[in-house]
Amino acid sequence: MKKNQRSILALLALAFLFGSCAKKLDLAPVSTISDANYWKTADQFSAFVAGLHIAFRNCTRSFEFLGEIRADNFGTDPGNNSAFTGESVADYEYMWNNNLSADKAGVPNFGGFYTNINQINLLISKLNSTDIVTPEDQQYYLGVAYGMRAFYYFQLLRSWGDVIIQTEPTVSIDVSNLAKAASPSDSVMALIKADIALSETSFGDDYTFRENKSYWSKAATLMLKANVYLWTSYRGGGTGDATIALNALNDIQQHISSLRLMDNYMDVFSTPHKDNDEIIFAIHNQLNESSQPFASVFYPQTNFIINYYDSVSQQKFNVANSNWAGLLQVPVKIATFRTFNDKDTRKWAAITAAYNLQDSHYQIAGCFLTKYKGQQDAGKTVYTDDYPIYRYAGLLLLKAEAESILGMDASQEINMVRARAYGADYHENVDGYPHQPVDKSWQEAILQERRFELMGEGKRWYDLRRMGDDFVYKHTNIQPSDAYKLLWPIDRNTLTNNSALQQTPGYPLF
Amino acid sequence: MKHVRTFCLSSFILLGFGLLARKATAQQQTGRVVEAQSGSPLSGATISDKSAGSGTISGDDGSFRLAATKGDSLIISLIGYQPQRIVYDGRKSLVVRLSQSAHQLSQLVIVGYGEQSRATITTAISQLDQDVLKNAPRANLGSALQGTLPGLNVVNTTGQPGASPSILLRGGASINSPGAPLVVVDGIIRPFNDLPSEDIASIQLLKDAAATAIYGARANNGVLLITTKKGQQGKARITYKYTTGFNTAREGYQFLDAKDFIYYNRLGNLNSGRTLDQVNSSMGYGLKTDAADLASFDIRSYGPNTSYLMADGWDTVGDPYGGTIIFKDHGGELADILFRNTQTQDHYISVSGGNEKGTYYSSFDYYKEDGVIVGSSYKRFSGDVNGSYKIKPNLEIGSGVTASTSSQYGVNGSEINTMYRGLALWPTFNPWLDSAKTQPNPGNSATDGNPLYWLSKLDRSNEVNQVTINANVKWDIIPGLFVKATGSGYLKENLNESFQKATQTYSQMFADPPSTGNTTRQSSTAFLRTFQQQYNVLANYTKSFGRHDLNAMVGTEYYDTRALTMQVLGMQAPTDDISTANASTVFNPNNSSDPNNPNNNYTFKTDYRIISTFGRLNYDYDQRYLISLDFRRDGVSSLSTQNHFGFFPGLSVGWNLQKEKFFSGSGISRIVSTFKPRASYGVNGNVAGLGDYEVQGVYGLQGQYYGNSGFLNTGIINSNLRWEKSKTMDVGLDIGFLNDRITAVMDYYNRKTSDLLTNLPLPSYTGFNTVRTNLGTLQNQGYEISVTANIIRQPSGFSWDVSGNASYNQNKILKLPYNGQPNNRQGGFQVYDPKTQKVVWVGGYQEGHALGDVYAFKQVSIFKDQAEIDKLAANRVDVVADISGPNSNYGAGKITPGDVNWMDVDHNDTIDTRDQVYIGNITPKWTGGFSTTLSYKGFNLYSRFQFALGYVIYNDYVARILGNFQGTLNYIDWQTRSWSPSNEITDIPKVYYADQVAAPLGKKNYVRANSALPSTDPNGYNSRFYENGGYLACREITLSYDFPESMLAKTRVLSSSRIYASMNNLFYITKFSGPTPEPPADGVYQGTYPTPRSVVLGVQVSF
Repeated sequence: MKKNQRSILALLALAFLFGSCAKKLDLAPVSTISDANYWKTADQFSAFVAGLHIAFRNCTRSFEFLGEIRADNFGTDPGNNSAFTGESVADYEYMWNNNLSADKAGVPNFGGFYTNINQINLLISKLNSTDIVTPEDQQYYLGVAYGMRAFYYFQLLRSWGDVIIQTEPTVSIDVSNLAKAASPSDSVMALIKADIALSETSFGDDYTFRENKSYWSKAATLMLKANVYLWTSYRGGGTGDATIALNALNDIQQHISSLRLMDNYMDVFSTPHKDNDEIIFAIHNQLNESSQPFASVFYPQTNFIINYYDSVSQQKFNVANSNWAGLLQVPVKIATFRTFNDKDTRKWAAITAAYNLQDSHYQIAGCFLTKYKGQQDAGKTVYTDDYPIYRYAGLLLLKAEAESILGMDASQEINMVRARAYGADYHENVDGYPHQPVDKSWQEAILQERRFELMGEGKRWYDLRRMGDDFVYKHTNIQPSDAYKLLWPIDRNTLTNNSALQQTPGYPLF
Repeated sequence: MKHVRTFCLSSFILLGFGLLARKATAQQQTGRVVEAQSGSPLSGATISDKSAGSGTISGDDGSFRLAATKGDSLIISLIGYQPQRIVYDGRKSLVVRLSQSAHQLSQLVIVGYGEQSRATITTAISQLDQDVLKNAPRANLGSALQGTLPGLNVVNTTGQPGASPSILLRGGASINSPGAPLVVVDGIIRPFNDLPSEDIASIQLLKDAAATAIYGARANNGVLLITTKKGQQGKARITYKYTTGFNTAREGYQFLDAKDFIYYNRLGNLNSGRTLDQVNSSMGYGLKTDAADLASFDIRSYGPNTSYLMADGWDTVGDPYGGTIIFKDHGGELADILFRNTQTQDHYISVSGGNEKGTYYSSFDYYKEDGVIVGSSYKRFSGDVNGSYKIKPNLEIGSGVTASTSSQYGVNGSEINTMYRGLALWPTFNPWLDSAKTQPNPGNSATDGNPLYWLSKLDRSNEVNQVTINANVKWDIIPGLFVKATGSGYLKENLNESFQKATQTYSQMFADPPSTGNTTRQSSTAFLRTFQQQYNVLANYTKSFGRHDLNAMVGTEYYDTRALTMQVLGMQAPTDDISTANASTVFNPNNSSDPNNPNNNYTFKTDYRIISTFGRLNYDYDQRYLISLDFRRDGVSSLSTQNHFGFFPGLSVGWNLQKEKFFSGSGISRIVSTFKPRASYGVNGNVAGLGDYEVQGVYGLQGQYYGNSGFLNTGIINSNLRWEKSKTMDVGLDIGFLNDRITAVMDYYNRKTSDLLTNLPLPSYTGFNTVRTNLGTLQNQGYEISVTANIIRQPSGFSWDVSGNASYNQNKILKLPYNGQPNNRQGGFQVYDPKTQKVVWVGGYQEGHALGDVYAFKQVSIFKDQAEIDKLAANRVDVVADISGPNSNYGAGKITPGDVNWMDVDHNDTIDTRDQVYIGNITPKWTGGFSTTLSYKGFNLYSRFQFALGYVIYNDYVARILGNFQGTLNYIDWQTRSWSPSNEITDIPKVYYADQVAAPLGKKNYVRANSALPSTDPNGYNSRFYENGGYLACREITLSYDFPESMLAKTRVLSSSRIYASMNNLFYITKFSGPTPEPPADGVYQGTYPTPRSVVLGVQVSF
């Protein structure tokens, strides 16, 4: 029996040995960081700010689509509803046809913007309760965070009108209390203006650029400010708001003397000329880091395009230099191409036209955007160009707009842009403002100049909207009777996931 | 400190065993086990002394030796024989006669951490019929489970050799992510995919919660217990088996020859209003004039300059645009390159033996199979050595090692693309650059050209090494009580290497000057290592007091698995000659889509642990009244500290009615020989799908921005997450007729999985897409029946056995996380319900609804002529296709003859998304299989069938091909039945170029969304292309011959010998039009790798 008791004791010991292992169930991750270990060092804050910009870059597609695709630049040509190369337009056509609905919402889930807004909210709350970060960085990061948040809300406001305001980070989920209603657009605009003010104060006198203008900066906040106040100047803000806008632009010019127009329009965008003097804030891409997430929808498949001729080089596109490997789903309208003056270098820099050669006559087949040409890498195109959010030419045209509202002479700013575009062919008394036929209306002149200058930069639709609804009706296929289409519909899943959300008025509810 | 309490409890139970133990005087008993009819010795039978708790195994001559006391109950059992219970009367020598049992009620069954006779089992357990494993060579053991275990739905998702089928028990236990059963091989949690079927001693499936509760937290999808062969007492035995199979591809759809291809494609272009320029610049059927196209496509305009080609075997076709086209037909050439006939080879050799002190078993297997699609193959070596030895009479040690190395290659590129683009490629395309057919034409890309070119440019290597080691000590402390400690390690390494050499497309090849093409030369090496350790100690006490039988077991276990993943990805080596990344010049491209590893060069580590206590108590009175209790308490590291532990109990009872006097005394016992009702209830858990550290909140790497690494908060702290819990009620009946010549096992189950780890899609403003909650409840209810019957057994030796099983399952979502919507609906869309005359929500997930219901637009007919349109659809507006009837001005086109007449469900003259109707469900309602065995003397004819019934498949493959979604590819021959002015009555719409595009190009007659990409959502297409997927498959027909012992005796070497011929996966009887009707996971048939048809020859000899 003794022997048995010994063995039972041994068993007991073994059992307790296992029991003590239970503490071993508390494991910490090795290859990711858990909440308990973040926000402990200044490096973690700066890595988070880099993360915000990566998330911002992930929104490039939404920025481009929301800002431009529903206007008159893109689309299939009459009588055809696939790209001229035969590629399917894959539901993008609902945007330029302006027949969006809850099922074909164009840009679903509010462009994914709230993902980054939440991260920004988290950064703001952590920055306001830390002393690990140097005061200089702390203020700069706050400037970035408030400025970027205002940028997102301004996109949301212009696209959906009333939207949910969220300024606190999500740290836990109360499943029973998730529904949240949209706030009136007035409150959203108040938030945008407040955030701009907070951003300006946080930056203080720090006009420096970080990471060669690929980070949000005080200048970016001021550009946004000008945009926002011009928007409200047409909506009751009048000359007061236009003056604020003008002052913001002057503020940039006064404090950052390095900004200027590049001599050659194409150089503004090309990879070798990244971070050039014209850029104020651009979404950064680089080889082996990231490429433009939307590029393939604008470029044709190599094997399709090589059947067509390039009328500039008078030869067929060939596999060596036209290896775009895209899936042309969003072509440029031939009409857009034809709106440009042949002397305008922007025509040839931004758009490529493809031709059929019929009995030694070139017949235009279609056009596509080639503003972001990227670079060649091991036999293929990599779209490493940056996507400019704000640049000096845009600043000049905004300034011209503010000046025009205030009854001032805007010709200097407009003509700086035109002179660069026309290059040696520029003749002030013919091409300069106000000598072109379109210049009879300063609104139309500025709209057209911005269209030519900023093609493919996500601005055209917002420009038409800013100037007023009539410009949308005039320049797009939306009829005044369909005024509800000025805003975007909310997609079905987004409506489902938040029961307090209402479909944008006017769009069918079933 | 809860866990300490549990350990104390278990220790007290152990202590209790010690107190109950009594000393007994045993004497040495010898005996022999023989076959009841022939008297031939039976080796490997287990003789266990229930009273003393000791046991032994009979040797080669059937003899055994055992210490027993008078009055002890001895149980003698052997797989395939009816066990016997004998009360030892003190006789010196004992002869035990076991009679064969074809039926399922008397087998020995492996349960978790032990084994039990079927007669005393009270839970739902199924055992695989060993005959299934006997003949067919199997790259993956999973294929043996199809239709053989009731309750298990096994689907061959691909015919690629070595691929694991998808396995789901009783409809699965999850809404979002149905999981496969837990696989336990000889006590080690590991996959079965590298096990040779000859090494398998038994496969058991534990189904209800009372049976699986012993595996607690991981068991709510069921448990597959696999036991491998062990050595037996007796002289050494060497077995060699050779199997070879000849595999052929299953017939698929017939594609058009070049003539029809050109005609229908150009007609489609004409119907879509495409200009002649556009047509002629299209691939395949266009008349392109550049060097590359002239060299690759044998199609020209017919004229004086080309007419000479007629002499070279070219042919002409009239162009719907006018004129004549001359072409050469290369139809079928690519298919002949893609598909091939292959051979399977399987060599297996084993050596086993043992004596009273120890046993050993060792085996080696080599398996090789080339897939019927070029590029795919599977190869495996595996070995197994195990043994046991008695150091002392009461102390036995055992250990074993298995090792395997395998490599599996899929097709180059995706299977869907191979089946779709590979087969539908232009029949005017010449896959060879030279007339000797030595240089393949690359075409446009890996899936748009000759696959041999692309295979020659890709070096691939895959190596999966799996090693298990285990050691155990079994200590018989006192009679009836033993303690067993087991430790095991399982190492899995997966090494994948690939090198893409420089490639050119045909247009690059023929450009002037030729373009270099793609020189990225990506070299990647990915390595995954997981190391898993398991340690357990258990105590088992067996005791009989008169007619009371008691068995109690308690144990504790520690489980830990660590994973390391790493990858090196280099690019742009200057040469094709070095495939490794040392020659690469560029590293760390940040273009990975893996959220954990945005850099392509990385290492990544995880660790996961479970600590458990478990126990079981079986009691029966005279094997008449049966009760079993079991539990497991698990602590898991992936839940937060306060929720680490979960408790999972199970209870089951049974009643062997035939042992009652009133029953055995009545006349009914002459017909009904067994009648055992049983019932069980239990709880299981699951945390599958939960990330190892997810609940702690995650800050994840986002990639780089201007060279700076970025982090963001990618997961919020979710420390309230708990186990999901499945509560299963199971009522069953084991019944035997005519002395158990016919037996049946029936079960009804009702499983409710609550606290489901369900993803709740979050409102956008939260900044997160979804959050995992414990807020779902899913119910699965169903029936299972399995029957075995010995229909004929004649003294002449002729016998006929049949067995079959069937299962029915139905699921229903009972609860979803609250989100403020009716039925807490997630996703879905709205259709008009004619019954209530309202628009209702369908699809997605909704409380009270089943998973997998499908809705689509109903094709009433094809408009045969304009008169019919005028009559039926004069005012119709089709907002989906952007077309309208004659009286409307809507849209960019008109409804024309040959377009689909959609059902206008809500009679509002508008066809929109509301006009969809219920089509069916994508999950089979019934699954099962049956087999029959005819034997006469040494001859044996075995055949096995399997079925799945009651589901629909959306045939996206056919829709995509007929709808010409890609714009230039070939059609299947159904296109010749499409509407035309001379073929007005048909169910196939008029041909268009890219039908999925809205008017004027297409009419959306096939799909109603403009997506040219294969879809995984089975909702919303044309009802015509939903097909009934039910099938009956002939899995195996085998004719075998066992040489008689008398003949073998003369050889003085051979102890047994068997030869056979077999046909595997011979045919499907189905209404489905494609080659494989097996239900696709998401209900959409996109073109899967078909399971090959094989003819197998095998020979097995033992010495």
